Amino acid sequence: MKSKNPSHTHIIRRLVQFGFALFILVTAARHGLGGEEAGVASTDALCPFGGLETLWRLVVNGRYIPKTHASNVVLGVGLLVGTVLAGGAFCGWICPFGGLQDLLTALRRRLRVPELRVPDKADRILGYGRYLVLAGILYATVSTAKLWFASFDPYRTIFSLSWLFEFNWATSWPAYTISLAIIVGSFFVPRLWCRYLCPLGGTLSLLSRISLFRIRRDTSTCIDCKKCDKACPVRIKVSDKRSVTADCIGCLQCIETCPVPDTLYVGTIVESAHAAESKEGVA
Amino acid sequence: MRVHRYVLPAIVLVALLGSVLVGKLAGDWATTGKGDVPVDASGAPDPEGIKGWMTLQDVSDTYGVPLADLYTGLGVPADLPPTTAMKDLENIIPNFETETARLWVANYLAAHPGAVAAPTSPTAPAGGDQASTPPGTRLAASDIKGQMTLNEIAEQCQVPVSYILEQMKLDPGIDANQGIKDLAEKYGFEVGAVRIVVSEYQTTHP
Repeated sequence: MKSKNPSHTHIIRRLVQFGFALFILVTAARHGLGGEEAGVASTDALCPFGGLETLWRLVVNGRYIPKTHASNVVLGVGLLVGTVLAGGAFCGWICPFGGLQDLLTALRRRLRVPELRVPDKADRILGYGRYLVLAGILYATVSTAKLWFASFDPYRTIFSLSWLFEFNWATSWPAYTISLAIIVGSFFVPRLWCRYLCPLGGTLSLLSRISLFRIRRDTSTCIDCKKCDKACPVRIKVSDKRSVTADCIGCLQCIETCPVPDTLYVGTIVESAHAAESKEGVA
Repeated sequence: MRVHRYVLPAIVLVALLGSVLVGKLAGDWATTGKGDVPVDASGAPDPEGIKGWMTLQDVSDTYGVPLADLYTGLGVPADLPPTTAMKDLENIIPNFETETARLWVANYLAAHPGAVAAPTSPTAPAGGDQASTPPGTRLAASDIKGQMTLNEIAEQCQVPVSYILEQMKLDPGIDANQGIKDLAEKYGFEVGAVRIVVSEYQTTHP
């Protein structure tokens, strides 16, 4: 029987998440305290999604959308390569906003507040929200040649510390309202933003379908206890899949929870071709 | 093929951090557009290059638009210092956007083909507290720092001390070897006012 103490994987993941969140917050603080003049990067400049937003204008006009820079494109390309190789582990290990939502879930559990469980059908439908948000942002960004989403982006609002250094309710109330709503919502619904609204998550979800490495399930040893389903923070029904890709954030919680060694494991896409007779499915 | 579970996060971490390393090695890593003012086909600064970080003084120096015209044309309140950045104006002037400044400057330059841009970069070198300029070149007014003395400003910006003192309505016998920040505190003016005076001189004495 497995211990209820946090596993090594869990601890390492939390440390990595904390490290990246701290880096972003310290950079934002330095930027907000006048480091801009000394060339300290802004939160905008360190967001891989900015690379996607500015891509169209860069290709067509050879210019970046205001507030985006070469760093956005470099990070975007790096993340694209990483995702094609290893799926959405960025969301589970690196994204500071994902880390914040995990923190809120941990807090809720500690306070013994029950999770607000979204019905399965609603969960599936709301899951398409990410693609709608993504399409809307790309359309608005291309048509206005501005970082249109910046005025609403809860990640930017929270982690740029603009609410601390240049609070302005009159001009930024939509961003503050959305951010607060997401924070409160994520307290009750794990990874609310990631599951239903995150445009970067939507992009990575599409790319993850072809990822070289992914979590796989050995159907011959699986005892269908469904502990993996319960452990998954983004509610993937791992026990129904042989290969977990699209929505997976690579947190490895399912593997940690599985009571049968090596039933859930990290394998390659190539195995899919040999498992045609098994019950196939992609999350 | 089974691999260690940590392969998933390790690959993404290496890809992300590796991209930064490769970008830096290739010289393609930039987190700011400062100092990067594009030029048009004729080699003149392109108003499309006006960025949110640029101050009124930067725009004036880079595109050769007198500050007075810039203030009037963009509807900037007279009490705002020339060190105010475009992005800050967005929060101060209703309906103002950096794009507004781009359009206005483009129109201004079309109507004033003789406008002469300052020969230096709109920004000081990163990390350099003390502005300096190679012999034979003129320091832009926007690069004047508070710790510079009047004599240093006169020498590097090629503006007579007497002109600055006269325009600033300061005592001609003032110690020109004192930093202008100290003088500003002592005589109750803003460092930005010296930049305006110097900028106007440089515009009329190209």
